[in-house]
Amino acid sequence: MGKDIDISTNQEHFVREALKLGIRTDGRSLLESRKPIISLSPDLYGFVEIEWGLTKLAVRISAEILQPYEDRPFEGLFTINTEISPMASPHFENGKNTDDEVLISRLIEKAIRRSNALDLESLCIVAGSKVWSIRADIHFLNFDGGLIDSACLGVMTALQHFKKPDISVNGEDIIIHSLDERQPVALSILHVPICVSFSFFNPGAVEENIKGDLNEEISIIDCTQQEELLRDGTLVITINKNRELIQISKSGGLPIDATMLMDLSSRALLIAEELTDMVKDLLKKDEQERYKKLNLKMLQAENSR
Amino acid sequence: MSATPSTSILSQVDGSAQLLLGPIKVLASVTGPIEAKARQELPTLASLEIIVRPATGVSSTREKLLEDKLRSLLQSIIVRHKYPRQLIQVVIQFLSSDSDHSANAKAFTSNELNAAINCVYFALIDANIALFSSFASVSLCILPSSDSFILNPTIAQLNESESHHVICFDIKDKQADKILLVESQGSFSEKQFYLAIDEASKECETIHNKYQRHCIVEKIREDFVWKF
Amino acid sequence: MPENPVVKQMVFPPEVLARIAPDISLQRHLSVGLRPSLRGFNEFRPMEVSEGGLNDVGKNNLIGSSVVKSGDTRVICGITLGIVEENSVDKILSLTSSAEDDSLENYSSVYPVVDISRGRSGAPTDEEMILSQKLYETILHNKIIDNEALKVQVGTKVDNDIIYPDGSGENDDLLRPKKNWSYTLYAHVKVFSRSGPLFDICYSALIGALKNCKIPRAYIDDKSTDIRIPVRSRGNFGHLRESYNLLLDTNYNENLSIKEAGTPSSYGIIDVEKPVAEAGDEDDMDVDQAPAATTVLLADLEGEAEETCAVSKINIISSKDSLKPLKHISIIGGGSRITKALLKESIRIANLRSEL
Repeated sequence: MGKDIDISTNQEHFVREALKLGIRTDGRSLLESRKPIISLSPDLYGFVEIEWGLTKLAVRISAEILQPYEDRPFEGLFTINTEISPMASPHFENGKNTDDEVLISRLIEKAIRRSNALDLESLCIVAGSKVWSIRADIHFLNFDGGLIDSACLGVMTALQHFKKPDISVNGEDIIIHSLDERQPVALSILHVPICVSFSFFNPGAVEENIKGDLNEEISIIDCTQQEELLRDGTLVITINKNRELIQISKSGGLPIDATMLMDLSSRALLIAEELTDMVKDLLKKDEQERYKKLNLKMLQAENSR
Repeated sequence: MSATPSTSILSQVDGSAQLLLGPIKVLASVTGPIEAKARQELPTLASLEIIVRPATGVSSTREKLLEDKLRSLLQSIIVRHKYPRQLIQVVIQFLSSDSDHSANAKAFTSNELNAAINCVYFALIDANIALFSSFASVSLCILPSSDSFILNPTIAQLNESESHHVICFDIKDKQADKILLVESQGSFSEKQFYLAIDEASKECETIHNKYQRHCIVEKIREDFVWKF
Repeated sequence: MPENPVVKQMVFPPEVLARIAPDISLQRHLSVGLRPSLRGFNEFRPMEVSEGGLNDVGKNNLIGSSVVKSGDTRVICGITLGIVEENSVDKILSLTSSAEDDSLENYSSVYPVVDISRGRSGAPTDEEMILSQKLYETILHNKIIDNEALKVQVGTKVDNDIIYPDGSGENDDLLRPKKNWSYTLYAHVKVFSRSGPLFDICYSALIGALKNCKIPRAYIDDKSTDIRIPVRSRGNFGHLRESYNLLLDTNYNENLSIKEAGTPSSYGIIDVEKPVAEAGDEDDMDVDQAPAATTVLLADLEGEAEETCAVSKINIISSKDSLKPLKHISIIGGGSRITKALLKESIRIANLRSEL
């Protein structure tokens, strides 16, 4: 396997011609997203694995107590680590941030951290000296397009799944209670942003520099690695269930019709609603499972007496 | 020990395996032989790039040391002269480890090293990389005032133990043959050490005959055209 | 007519051969029972540890030091002190779980930074990082430094007198802050003229420096205690916050008590193609005299040729303890076969060395 991802001219023509006919190589329709499979860890908090088509990733949330920044004594810390290892694809080098990686990490940063999805003030323990520091490590395991969408979903699911140990504060002194001793506490999540990526293809043979009246651009949702290599323009919309638009990032040269943005936004909203509900159901089930397990444990303890 | 791996789970790399060993969940991927960068290239041998990534946080010197131990093992087990001027890239990604359950588990790397070695074997097999022999490793500890061993100890057991050992053997003709790697720490007698080695060689054979053979047979059955 | 090319046998002086074909040069040496350094196979280089070699440099930061010479290599090690606030994490849990006295949780380590001088500066190399981590883990697992030894017994300064908790007695608790502090030890290990694996010499240097560590007492100066006013914003109540300035009292020094650290010994294992020459002195008596190739133990590797050719390596740390003398064994066995006889021999020598 070579290091650079390259695509043959034959394959390129095939994909493009098929798109013009409204067909995608994996059989989806143009505006159909892949259905993610989300697995939550039954014994750990904040450990989520996502399979988004062939794209695979795992998200781990961890928490520790640190001193806050001098200028923000009431705010906790939240970092997202999006380093991509060569495990995802050999064309990512270890320890070297490629432009793609920087772009992905910035988009995720903006979607989640800058949109205040996690309430930082609720992480404060003792103002100015002790706050929770929450860290999300995204481990990209396999790469087949849609890294932004799946990473954002992964982090948001993991944040909702995560529980930090309970603490008691006694003046300056704090005691961290172990998970066995006291029920851990969930994080305070203000809203759930969902990223939806669109890709645009220019069906014409010539490059379109000025927006024509033709409006022939093909737009597709959630492209695979192959389609990502060929696309002429991309758009990432981050939106939540409350119909709040959080981020719009349009890049790539291909100009698109302005009214199309409205249409795509409402499509993104549908996907966001669907995914948010799906995650919610999953978390609810997980909670019930855990509760059942806990009950069972208690019963066993009684029996042994 | 349940060392049943799942292999070929990633599509972008040449070989991959996932292993669950108690609380440790580890994923290994192997890509190669691929083109090496100019500074990595060795004229007569394949160069190895080994990357260990922790479940949480950035990788530190702790992971560097694990990489070094893995390298010292793999460089003599992979038939490197078969792939001159090329690169074999090995990534070990921990998804969960002992340290998720206990704060001071970071002090012990033995279970993680053991899991990484056993997992990378399946990934190498999956990637069809030529090996001189099979290899398997065992993590064990000795509790104070007892002479018996605990295989695959938990963190609590390691904490109480007097000494802990990771022992890796190569396996030829279903027999544990050569000592490939030993990492022993704590305080122990010479006799205990030899006993640990004997115990480990037996256990390595068990791992090989129970899991590794099976994996190789499956691999050949699945991958080659002349189906059985 | 072109002449038949004549292949002339090339002859190199030994030092040139050692440079261009280190493996051949090494084999030639070994086959006559010699090492390039002219040492015997089982002969270690003498290691000269001068503890406190830097103690006259200044009393500001350095609390322990050592200078080690071994062969051409010089290692300088200095230990400095840091104070961290102890987290009162899981008090209840730790009471229950660490009933075992000898549990690893009750031991600390030093944080070493190894710097191998190579004529340029820059980010630490892999070798330096690996060595630092190895030293850290080894000292931790050998259980050399007890946590108790690093607890800070904080005194309070009242009118130029410093009152320490173990001193006068009654009003100790009144004056003492509720917080707990402990010392962390940082070690800076500087290596000059590297000529082989460095673990042994760095470990000896680190232990040497730890042995003469003087731990000062710390006290709180009332004048420098900083109290901040309560703060309040958006439902968050900031608490009355005191931050203390801990000052070191250099008039009181206590020796850091460390447990027996053991003696490190390292070996390389290499196949000698020809039988060891008839010279047969006592150094290679215990080696199997197989006719084709013999495997020999080389103590304390020196030079590039030995380091690269001996792929199999053994590191042992052995202490004086009569029952369980071994502290650490690490073996890399991918190269020449490590037989039980070789292993026994290496442990025997390591034990002998620790008794010196």
